[in-house]
Amino acid sequence: MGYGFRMATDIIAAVVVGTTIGWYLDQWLGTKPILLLIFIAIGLAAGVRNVIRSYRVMAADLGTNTGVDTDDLSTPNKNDYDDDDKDRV
Amino acid sequence: MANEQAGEHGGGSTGMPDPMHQFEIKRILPLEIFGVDASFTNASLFMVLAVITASAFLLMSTSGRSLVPGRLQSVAEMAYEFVANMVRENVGTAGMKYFPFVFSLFIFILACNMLGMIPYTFTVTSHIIVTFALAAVVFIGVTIIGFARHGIGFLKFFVPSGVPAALLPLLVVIEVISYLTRPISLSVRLFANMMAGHTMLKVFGAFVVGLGALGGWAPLGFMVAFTGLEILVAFLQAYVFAILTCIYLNDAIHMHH
Repeated sequence: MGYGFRMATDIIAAVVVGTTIGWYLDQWLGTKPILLLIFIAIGLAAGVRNVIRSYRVMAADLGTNTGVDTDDLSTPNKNDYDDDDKDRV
Repeated sequence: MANEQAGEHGGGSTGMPDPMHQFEIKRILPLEIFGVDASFTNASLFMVLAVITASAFLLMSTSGRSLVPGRLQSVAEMAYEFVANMVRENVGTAGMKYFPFVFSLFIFILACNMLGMIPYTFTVTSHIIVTFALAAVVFIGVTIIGFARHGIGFLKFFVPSGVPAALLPLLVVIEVISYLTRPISLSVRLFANMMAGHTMLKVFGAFVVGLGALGGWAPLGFMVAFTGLEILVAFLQAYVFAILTCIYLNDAIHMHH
């Protein structure tokens, strides 16, 4: 319920944050379009990172039918997110 | 659509009520503190009403404290259990320290959303500044908790492990931006859901009036169904806000490592 919208806001918000940071860094350092373009790309990457995280939460919520191993998510106390880190490389 | 004159009276020359008219802020008690406009507006009124409603409900329902709960008391107990389980499942027992905050947040947003479902009321959570303030409190609070618990080591949260050194600077920047996204996505989600839903209700309400007794029945039927959906969304968004607060708390307390 509402997962699609959650992920859409995740991506959009990340791009907005990246664009804002790039815009102000450009203003500050006087490197007009370069940092803005770089930070839009980084913002998009951060948005995809957010969506991957949201997807893991969603998979944990919905159980097994998403085909993702959710053992490490259902017990946050265990502290082992190694799986997460391997995917990141 | 954004006809200023039509907006003034919620109708007018166009014959169609302005669907955005309901979100207008009106000053009830004009007040200025040190040059800052701190008027008591209809938004403030409904926030106060939400707090009063929630407090009155919880005080009334827990005043009896019978072993076999009555109707009111069992609703209050269900709300307590619901949030307590949410915190316990998402943060673990270490998070129960922050249960009062999550519970207040959930009940406040729920009360605001539900008050907004009553006709002629004002929906506080349909304003981005209100939801952003709530999200900023969560964001700043969680960041402080993270630094208080782990000290400067909390910065390791932004450094993914097992990454080649060449990629590390880029990934740290991505992680930091991803972290800064939280208050924005948290606030936009609640605000957009509430505003879109209430605008839809107004637009379809105008269809009912505009089509009259002949053709108005189809949008009326839709509105009845959509009102039900909106009540679900009002609850769901309060839940989503609370559960994401829990997830962020979990990140701050047990860092991903």
